[in-house]
Amino acid sequence: MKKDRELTRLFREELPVEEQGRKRAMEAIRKSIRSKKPVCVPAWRQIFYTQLPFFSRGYWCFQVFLLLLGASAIAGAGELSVWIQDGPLFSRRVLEPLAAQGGVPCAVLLPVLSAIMALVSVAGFAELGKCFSCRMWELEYSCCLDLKQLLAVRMAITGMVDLIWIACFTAASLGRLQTGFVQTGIYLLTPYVCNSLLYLTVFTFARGSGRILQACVLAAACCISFLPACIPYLYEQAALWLWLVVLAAAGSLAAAELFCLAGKIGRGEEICWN
Amino acid sequence: MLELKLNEVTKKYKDTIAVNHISTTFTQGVYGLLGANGAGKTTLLRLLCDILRPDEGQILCNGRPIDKLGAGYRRFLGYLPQEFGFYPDFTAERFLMYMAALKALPAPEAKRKSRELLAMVGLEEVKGKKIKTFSGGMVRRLGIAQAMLNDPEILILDEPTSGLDPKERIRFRNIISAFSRDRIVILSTHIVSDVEYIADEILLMKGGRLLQQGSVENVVSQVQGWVWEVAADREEAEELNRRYAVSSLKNRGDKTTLRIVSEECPALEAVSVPPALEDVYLYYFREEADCGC
Repeated sequence: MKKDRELTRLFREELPVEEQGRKRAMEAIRKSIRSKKPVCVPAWRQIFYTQLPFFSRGYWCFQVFLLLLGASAIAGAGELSVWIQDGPLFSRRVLEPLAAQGGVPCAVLLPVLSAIMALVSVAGFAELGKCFSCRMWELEYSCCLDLKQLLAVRMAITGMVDLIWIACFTAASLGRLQTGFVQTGIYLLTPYVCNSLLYLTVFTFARGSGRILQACVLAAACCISFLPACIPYLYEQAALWLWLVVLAAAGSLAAAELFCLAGKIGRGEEICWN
Repeated sequence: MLELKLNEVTKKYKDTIAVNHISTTFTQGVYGLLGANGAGKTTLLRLLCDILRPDEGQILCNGRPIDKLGAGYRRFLGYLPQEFGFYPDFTAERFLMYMAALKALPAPEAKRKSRELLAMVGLEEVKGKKIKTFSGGMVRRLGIAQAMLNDPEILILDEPTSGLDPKERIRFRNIISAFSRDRIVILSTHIVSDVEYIADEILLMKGGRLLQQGSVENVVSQVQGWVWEVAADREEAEELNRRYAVSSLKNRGDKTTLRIVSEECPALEAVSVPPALEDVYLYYFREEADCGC
């Protein structure tokens, strides 16, 4: 250490500073700095923050509305049960065995929550499709951030919101249903994944096919949500494997479609039509 | 300094060949891509932006394929698409900040650059207004501003002046001229006067192929001796208009002066005149002009 200091002192004393050379070197450094572009490589967290303004105020308001709707459905589950049993939706043959189980039957509350989740999913996809409808995709494609990254982050945001809602609904309905947390979660998650698959199919293969098709898909999504309610035995413990199979199949198909969509984006096919 | 090289680049859409074996090199300067609608200009620009992948051939940036460079290439790129999309509920300033974030500009730099560009394109006073309230010209100017946000080394503009009034077009030309130093600027248009004054090189495209490439003088010299002016009476003028490619027609009293592009002398009294770029365009794209495409 002492030797180092001594060497430094000697260098400082014995090497005279050439002022002109120093100026030239400093100028070269400055020039080099000026030519460098101030570009950062954003982390995933930063990309996440970048994409938050992408989601409109309307989207967030609708999400809050759906959360409140779900909460009120859970809070008024008893009344809902009576109303549905008195209404024309289900036959007495279907509902009587369920009423015998006591409490609020799964086949009454869960389809309602599933339908709400379908709307949550629809809102997410509508928001994701905004860059198509606003013809922004081509421009976003040409930017430094990879479009696949952007789409992945946007899907992650909507997916995260959806999963938080599912978790909230599952937790809130725990005391009112005869099923456990995981089972209720599967009952809500399966129609949600099926709905998402349906929308992703439209999003990937039938983009730009008009509002009528979109309305049909919305109606089909609501039907999917109520489908298990028509076969109430599906909510029995013995049929849980069927839910898991459907969930795994729909999840795999959705993953395959995402892969296909990513390939299409990579080849630029999704944005160029002429 | 960047060099962008196209090697036998071909792009097909099903049975249609949009870009047909194009080979050329772009170094610094302004390049004007001229062609009628459907000539393949937009496809070529999308290929240059790495939005589309060529079916054959390669695009190299300083010797490296642009699809391999990915974000490293797009960092150098500024692009204004023909159909410039925007999120209507964004304000001009928010839109530029959003685009700057996508271009990976650090926030302070993005803010400084957004303000500078909004002032440059004359949108400073409306920076807080939503884009959906903007006129077509204002939207186009915003599009030009976003393309220049990252101070791009390669600026690609597809029909940048559509929707701009004459004053705005002159301003745009001046902006591009000032910006083009040490950069590659490629702009596609079918408005000849947009590129005539500022382009260092002209590329003429037709049916997916490059017909001509060179300086304005070189390209114009291709039709040297084939541009004529003739004063004719009404009936004769109509006949000439039917038979030849007429680039301008002026009525002066009972006579009509026609500017004709033709390899043969159209009339005995016709006088050969120096050609302009518009005459070259008419010479190559007469069919498109006739069918109104």
